[in-house]
Amino acid sequence: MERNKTKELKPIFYQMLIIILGIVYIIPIYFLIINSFKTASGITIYPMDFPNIDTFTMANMGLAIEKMSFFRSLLNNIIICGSQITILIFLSSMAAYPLAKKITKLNRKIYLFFLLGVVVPSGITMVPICTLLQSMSLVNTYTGIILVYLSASMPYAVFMYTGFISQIPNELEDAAVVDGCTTFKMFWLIVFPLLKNATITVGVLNLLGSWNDFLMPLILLHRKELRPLVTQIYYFKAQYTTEWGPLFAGMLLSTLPFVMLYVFAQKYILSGISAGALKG
Amino acid sequence: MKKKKRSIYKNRSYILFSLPAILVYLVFFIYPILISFLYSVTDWNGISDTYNIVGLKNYTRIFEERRVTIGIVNTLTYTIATVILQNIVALTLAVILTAKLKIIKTMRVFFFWPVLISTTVVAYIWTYLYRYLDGPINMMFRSLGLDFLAQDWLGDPKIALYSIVVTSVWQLSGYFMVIYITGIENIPSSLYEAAYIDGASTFQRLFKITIPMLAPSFTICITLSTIWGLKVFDAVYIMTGGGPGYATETLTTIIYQKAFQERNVGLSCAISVVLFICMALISVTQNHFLKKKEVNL
Repeated sequence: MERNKTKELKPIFYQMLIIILGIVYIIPIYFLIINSFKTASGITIYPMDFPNIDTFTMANMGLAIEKMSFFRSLLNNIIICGSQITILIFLSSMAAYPLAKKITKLNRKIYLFFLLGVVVPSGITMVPICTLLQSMSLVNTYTGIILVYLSASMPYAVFMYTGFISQIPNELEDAAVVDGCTTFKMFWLIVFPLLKNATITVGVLNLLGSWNDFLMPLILLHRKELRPLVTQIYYFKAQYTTEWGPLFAGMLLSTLPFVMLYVFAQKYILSGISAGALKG
Repeated sequence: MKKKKRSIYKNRSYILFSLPAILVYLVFFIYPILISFLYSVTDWNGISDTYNIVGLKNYTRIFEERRVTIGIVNTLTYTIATVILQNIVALTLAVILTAKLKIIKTMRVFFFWPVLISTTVVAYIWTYLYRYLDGPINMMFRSLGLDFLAQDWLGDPKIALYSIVVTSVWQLSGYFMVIYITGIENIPSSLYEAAYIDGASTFQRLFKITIPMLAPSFTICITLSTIWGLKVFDAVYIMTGGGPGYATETLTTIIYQKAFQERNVGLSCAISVVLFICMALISVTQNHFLKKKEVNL
């Protein structure tokens, strides 16, 4: 068989392109890092350079940690996102169980009911959420914002779990029934452990969505002690408008926890995104 | 054996499984949406105890107020621009990064990092980069003698919106790149081998195999990027606050401003309802159209 001459792009082309794109990509992060350690004059006079003897400073970091209540905000993030995701996993997997296993008219309706929510973004309910929480005295509380995140992420989570659960063969449960298993035990001891992939996906996607969220804390959490990292940065900038150094230091700090999480859990995060996409 | 019919499913605790989720969803998600509809036909200001029903006045107001009509145009422009650019960049990166070269595999992580940074932080960083006098971008152009390229990226009404688009593309393309990479890796290599033997060039392989086989990935990426584009808030609010003038106002920033600063809850909710309906329509049509393309494969 005659082999035609193929027009191949040389590997060097790929490598060059990637390097160029890589440089473009890293520029913002480069500045995030160097400006965190530069004095104000260093930033204005020599914006492009690494901090040197004259322009290096740790004062920005100090100011950021102190004024931004870094550890407190981090704790807030952990509390809010951690609770929201844990409760979400429990509630949505439980809700998906009957929807996936027992096909009745009612269940079909409930499933569609959840599905509708997938299309609706949470930003649209800004005002009513605010007034609703006000009437329940849940503004400026952890509970309030956790409930808001919980309800907004419920549709997609239920959707994902329903898909996964319906793939679990019924024989497992039939065997358990014979052994006298209650529905409750059945779900938690048999079905849920098999849902590890779904749980990771739901967890990862919601973590990405809620950890760095800006709008909801902006309108629901005004008290300083409750603010998550992102909101804290916003208020910091509003207060210290002209000082880039401390702002960058604060931003660098606030980015670190999540980036470190990524370094450790990279596999899970990437597979979570892909799985979420495929099922969609 | 079949005699013991699924008696567990007759167990009433079965329904209890769904109840908590349904309750939370109903109270904190569905109910606010419905209330939005209610508020949209009132003139409530968010504070007083009373309000009046004003019918569809808020809806007509939407098209009378210049800020809102510009906001609609901006939102659409922004969405189309980000959807196109994000997906092109993501696809390019994905194609390059799945080539069989050792160095390149490790770079995948690299382009994903901006996704992990919050939009707020990204917005501030780029606000700094875009500064006219002392921002690195302009300083770089000036030092290369390319003064004419230095623009007022966020202050010039003609280009401000696109500057924000670039920021978004930088931040989010990595997310879609991950999805495309998974999609490409799922394409059976036998297809490529057959094409290679038949003498197909790289470009032919790209367009005849890779892209068609990525149809499901396209569906999800285009849907997601559209939704994210339509509901953009953080970047605009932080980088320009909607300015200069109304050049970068988007619907979500208008909704926020009308409700919390202008205290015009009725109008704000009316705009939300319009946005909601648009998003639902666009999502459904898009999905339908894209799924059809998938099936054709």
